[in-house]
Amino acid sequence: MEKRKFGRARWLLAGLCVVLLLSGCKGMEKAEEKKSIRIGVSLYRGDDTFINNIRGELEKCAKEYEQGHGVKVTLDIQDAKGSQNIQNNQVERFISLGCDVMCINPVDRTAASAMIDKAMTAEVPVVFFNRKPVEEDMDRWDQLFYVGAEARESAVLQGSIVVDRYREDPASLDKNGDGVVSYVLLEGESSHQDSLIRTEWSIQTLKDGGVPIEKITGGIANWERSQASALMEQWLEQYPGRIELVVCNNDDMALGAIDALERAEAEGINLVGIDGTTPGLEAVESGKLMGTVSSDKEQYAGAIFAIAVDKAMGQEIRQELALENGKYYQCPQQIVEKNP
Amino acid sequence: MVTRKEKMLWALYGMVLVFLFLLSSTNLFIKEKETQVYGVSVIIEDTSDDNYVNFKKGMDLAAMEFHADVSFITLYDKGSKKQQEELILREQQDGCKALVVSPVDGDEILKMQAEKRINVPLVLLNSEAGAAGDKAAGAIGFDYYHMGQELGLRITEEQKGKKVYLFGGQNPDEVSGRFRDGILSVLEPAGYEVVPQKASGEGGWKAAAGEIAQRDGGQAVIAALDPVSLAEAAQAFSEPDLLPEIGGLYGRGTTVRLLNYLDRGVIQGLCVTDDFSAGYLSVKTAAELAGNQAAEGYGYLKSCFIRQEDLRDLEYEKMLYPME
Repeated sequence: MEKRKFGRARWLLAGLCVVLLLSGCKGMEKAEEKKSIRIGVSLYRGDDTFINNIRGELEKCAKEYEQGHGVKVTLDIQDAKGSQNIQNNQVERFISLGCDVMCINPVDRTAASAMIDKAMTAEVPVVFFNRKPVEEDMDRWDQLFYVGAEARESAVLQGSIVVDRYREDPASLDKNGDGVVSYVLLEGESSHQDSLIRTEWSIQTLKDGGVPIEKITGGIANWERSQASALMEQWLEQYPGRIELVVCNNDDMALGAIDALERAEAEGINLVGIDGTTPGLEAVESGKLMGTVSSDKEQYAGAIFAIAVDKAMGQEIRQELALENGKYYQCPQQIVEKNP
Repeated sequence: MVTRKEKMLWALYGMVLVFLFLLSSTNLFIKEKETQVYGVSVIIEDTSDDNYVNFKKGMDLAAMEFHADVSFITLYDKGSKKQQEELILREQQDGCKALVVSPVDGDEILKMQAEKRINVPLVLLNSEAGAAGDKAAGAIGFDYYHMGQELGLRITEEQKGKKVYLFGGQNPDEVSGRFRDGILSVLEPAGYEVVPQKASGEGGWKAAAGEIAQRDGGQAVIAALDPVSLAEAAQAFSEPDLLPEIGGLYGRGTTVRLLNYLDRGVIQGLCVTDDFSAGYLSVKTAAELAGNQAAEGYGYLKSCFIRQEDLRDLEYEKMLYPME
């Protein structure tokens, strides 16, 4: 009787092993067979210059990967046009189209939970970028990742452009020689954490660096060139001859301020930006912008793409990315000033 | 005490409720129409979508309306026939139901179709071969030869007797080749001196524009055959006071950058096309063909020559800055 029991158990065990072995082989076969991947990319606004730069780099990465690995990469890039509702619909569409992974630049970083719910249900990993969802959301699933540039670092570097210039030649910033550098501030969206941090740390760096500053005014231009231009035009009329420095949360707003300065034919006002967008770098080179802080766009997009591809191919994320807590990647940044 | 009749009524109520539930929440009685999604691959001749912004807006709208799953594919190297051919074959192999191709060489694509290497419905974009021969299932594009003629006429009206430098189109693709032929068909018989300009590398056209301005000044006119060389030439003249003025800068293209240069008066005249409609109609045709529906073949779409003052015209505004 006892012997018969053991015999049955042995057969059961053997059967289980065969099933496991077969399912394992099937998995291997699947991984080997994967000759095409589909990545859904949703941008918070397609007309944002920095985001557009990243988009261009992502497309380059996809082409290089296709050529290098012989795996077809379909990038489905969508513009959410600043609407979280549209973005939620895009996420649904990506899932229904069978995307292997999604790269999302959230419209509202505090409203990522609905997208995360959908991704978790469909088991589609998500790489967020540029706007970091709140910590509680990021901790909900181990298949959520974030790529960005540290806002505090950008701000400190931006501040140090001004500090270094002031130390070299105070008169280049303090144009009217009253011993104080009077500045105006162009800020990004009030709901964007980077906007608040960039403002705070940029000004703090100026103070810590011993630059005597006085804030004339500031305004929210929502990262946009046109809005910044309108604000600057208004300030030039309100404070004629008083503005000596324009501190901008990004390059697009700095370019908007430059547009206004050119229209008003105002001279002697220095501007600093952040992002290192292509037009921003051109403005630095032409001397219109005192300096900007640039994160390496290739590296930035490369990190997003690398995580996305590794997840899509069902592989472990490559070690060289050295993700913080297994999910965060901070892109290094550097100061860009005009070549002497 | 519940009577037998009441019991039967309750049971009937219950059955009605169950029936209503099945009716509303399942497709047991009312079959939901299954939406068929068609894979459409759009393969262009360029390495980037810079000149396809409005086209893509139209394409996206048609994709939503006609349930198409569109893949927009660019080449690895600009103007590579071989790559385009490989991509067409790859997309077919991956199961696309229709192709929209802006060909590097239209004849090559039609040859592929004749050899049955393309076995899904094909819509050709901007190709003389497709438009003339009706060999592709659909052909959509613009009459670039006519556009070139129109530009030539404007130059003869506005820049009498000046030397005309042709920018771009060094390795002429179909489009810039036809545009150039159109310009020459007007300028050469009218006795204009037309000089095909050469340039190399990034910024080459900008440098060439600068040299022409220094050498010929107001006696020179630049006509750019493609949007890239036009944008570079415009960049050279966008900094006021850096260069002497030339007689005029003309060309073709509908990118926001070029429209901004036109708005600022850097470009004097621009041949523009209704790219939004081209995107919409090409994907609509492809999706219809993929679903075995009858589709209109279309043909040449609207194009026109505009100046700075035309930009605020409602008709052009709608065409050049389409709402999504």
